[in-house]
Amino acid sequence: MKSLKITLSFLFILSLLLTACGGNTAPTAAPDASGGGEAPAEAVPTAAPSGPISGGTVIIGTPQEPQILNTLLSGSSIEDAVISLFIEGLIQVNENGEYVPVLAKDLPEISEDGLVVTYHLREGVKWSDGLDFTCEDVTFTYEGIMSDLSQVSTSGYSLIESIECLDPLTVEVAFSEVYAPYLRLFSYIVPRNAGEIDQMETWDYNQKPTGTGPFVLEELAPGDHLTFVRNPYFREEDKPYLDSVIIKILPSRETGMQLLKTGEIHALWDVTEADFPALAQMEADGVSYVSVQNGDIEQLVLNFGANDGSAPADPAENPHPILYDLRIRQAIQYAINKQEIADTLLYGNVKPGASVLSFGQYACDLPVSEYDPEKAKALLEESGWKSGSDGIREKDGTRLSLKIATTTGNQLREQTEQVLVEMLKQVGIELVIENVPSDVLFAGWESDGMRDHGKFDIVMYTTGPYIFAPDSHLYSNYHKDSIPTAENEGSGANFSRYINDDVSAWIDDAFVTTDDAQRHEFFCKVAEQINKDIPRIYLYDRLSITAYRTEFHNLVISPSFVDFAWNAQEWWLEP
Amino acid sequence: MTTPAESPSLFLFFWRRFRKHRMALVGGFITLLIAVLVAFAPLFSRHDPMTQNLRQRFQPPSAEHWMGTDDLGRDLWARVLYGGRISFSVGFVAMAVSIGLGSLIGLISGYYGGWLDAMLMRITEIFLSTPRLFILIALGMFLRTLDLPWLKPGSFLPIAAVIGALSWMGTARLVRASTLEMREYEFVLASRALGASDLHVLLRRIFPNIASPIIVSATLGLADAIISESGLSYLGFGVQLPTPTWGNMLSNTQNQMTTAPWTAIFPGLMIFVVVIAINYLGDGLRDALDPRSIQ
Repeated sequence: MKSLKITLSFLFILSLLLTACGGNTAPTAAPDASGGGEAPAEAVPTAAPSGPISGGTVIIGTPQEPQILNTLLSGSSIEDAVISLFIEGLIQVNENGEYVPVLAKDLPEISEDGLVVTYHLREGVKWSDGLDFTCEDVTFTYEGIMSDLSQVSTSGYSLIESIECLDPLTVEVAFSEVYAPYLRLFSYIVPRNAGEIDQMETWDYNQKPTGTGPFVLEELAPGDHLTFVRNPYFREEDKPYLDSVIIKILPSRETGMQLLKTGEIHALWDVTEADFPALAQMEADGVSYVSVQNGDIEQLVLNFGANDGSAPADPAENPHPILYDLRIRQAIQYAINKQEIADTLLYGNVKPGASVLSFGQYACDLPVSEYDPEKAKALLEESGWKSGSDGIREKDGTRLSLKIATTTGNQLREQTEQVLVEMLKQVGIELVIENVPSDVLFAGWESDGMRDHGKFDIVMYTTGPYIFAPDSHLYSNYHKDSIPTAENEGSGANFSRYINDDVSAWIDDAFVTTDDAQRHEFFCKVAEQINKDIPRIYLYDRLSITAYRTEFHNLVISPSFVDFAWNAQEWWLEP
Repeated sequence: MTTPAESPSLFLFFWRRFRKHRMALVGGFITLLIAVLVAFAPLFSRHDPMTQNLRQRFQPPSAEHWMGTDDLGRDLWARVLYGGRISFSVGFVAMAVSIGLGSLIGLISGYYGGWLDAMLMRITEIFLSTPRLFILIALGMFLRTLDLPWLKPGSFLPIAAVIGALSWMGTARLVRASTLEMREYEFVLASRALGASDLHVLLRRIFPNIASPIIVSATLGLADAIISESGLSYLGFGVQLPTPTWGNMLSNTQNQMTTAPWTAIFPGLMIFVVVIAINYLGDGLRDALDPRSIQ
């Protein structure tokens, strides 16, 4: 009797599990609105039609839900990407990482002294509610960005002294000091009739936005989907080609991969490098992907200061017992075979990390660090770390043991960590994995964040420069004034507590130089010196990947998320 | 009256009753088999569970790799065996902690009664009503940050202790109930009347007589602890990689379900088989040891 009961209860649990799994896929059935644009699952494109065809609905899946559709308040990359369907900027970035004028007629003129930038706006542009697009929209956007309520970075905008409308289609922006990467400014423009700036958070606009872009929001079903239809006032005739674009919220990325395979969605946002094998397998089902480097680098941050939470402004006051020694950091770098990680864990789809600036207009020609375990061993011997009984080195009774932390539940990072453990073990360094949830790893100063307070040996995560203006990334990650301490209330991201006066000076110099060639030179001096001092080890360059079905054409993605749908008017679908 | 199991004939008696329970017999055999396999893992596996071979990732099961290889090219069979060691060890340590704590609290509560009983039982209820998983996660993370000199970094002991410390409540209630019953028996009263100390009565008179529910509870507790550890490690808060356990081997494998299903199936199967086998074993033990079911 009792055994029967147990069997029954197991069956019950099993059935619960099965229904739970079923529950995940149930709400993902495509909405009826998909219409005729949807291709049957088994359709394999044979001969592509010669040119774009009008009509159809593209469904794009995303596991994250955009919460807010106001650029000024958006915080996540998915929001930026969705907003780019209807919001355009004066200047945007195309798939090759080049600046292209969108709402501006041409790239702006800049005065001799580099302080005044003049934009000529495109004529005949209307907002999706019929309002004319004018210079006032630009000044309104500027005020919005500078408002206390806005969530966007004011970097660059804060240097603007005045912004004036010379006529309805000419904007003159005067800077208080030279701001070299001025082209990155105004990559989005918000309509002047959105509401009062000091009530930004309660605007009706946030739920019912308008824009100059090819699409306009028609329906917002929280937790399920967002429907965008053609903007009737879009400036280019016969465009966009598509009737509508549906953003479908999915329970998980894995579900998205399945739906992509069966053709229930046409594209899936933000696929990761770990999905490459699945993508390769789905090629026969008509799935392809576009990837673009965006400056992000998967990297190890090495702590120069003691890991006791004292957070010294200068690590020399309370140095890390192991990592403060440059020879150890060199040894660690020599022991890591970056090429092997890129070739195997990432299936050869990424480039091993060479420097902080390995891509984009300011790319520096620096080699990937050498893999040479013998040199690593020699350096460790030289610095007095001798092999102990179990192969791990020791010095004065201290084990050469370091802890590495990254976010829990990220398969690729966990794989990388385990490979690093093996590689470092070969030269006698013990690496112990102690992962934490991302909100613990990235917690701020006031919540006793482990990064900010320096309570780590090595942490691994992704960060990288905005490739069109690396200034702010270099400043916040490598400048000596960006070390988080009690005095500055933990501002700055120089978690290594890396101090090099030359590097700090070059970062400052680049910021106030207008000449691009000269800026490039400063950036590369910084990158080169960083590679010598090794506050961080760059493992590989990350990619932004979007998977799509091959019947969905002209999807090209820009390295910047704000510009995800910069060519959405050109998208079209094979029936 | 049943006296403590000291004579061989009594064991024989239990064994005969246990033998009648077919599923328990099978369960016991499987548990024993797997326990032997994992305890003597090096004898049964040619591969090292930690050696990576990045050129041999995701190999399907073959003569060389019986269960295939995992995402870093490690032999899955070796990892399942060595992972079983950790899973079983966590299970045993957690079970020992929980049975120890539970028996202690149950004995004291049942024997002394009164306000002490009321207080201990309220504490038990408080523990029962807290969401275990969250406390496990929080405590697990907290214990990791403590630098205990005698503890090797990455050891499974803290997590096992925490699991044990959060699962003693069932045992405590069971032991309390049996103790309440036991202390009214004449031989206990006689022992007390003869001036035996409380400790003597508790340990020599009552404890041996309530051993059978404790044994059953321990068996089921072992299965429970293995499941807890698996769940915790699956979520990434338990035993940290690259040390294998059945739970953390399963972690993240949902991404590979279509491309390399064996990486998920084998560790999952081990948890399933071991837990169900131990449950049947416990079930059989209960039937065999329960005096009330003697005809």
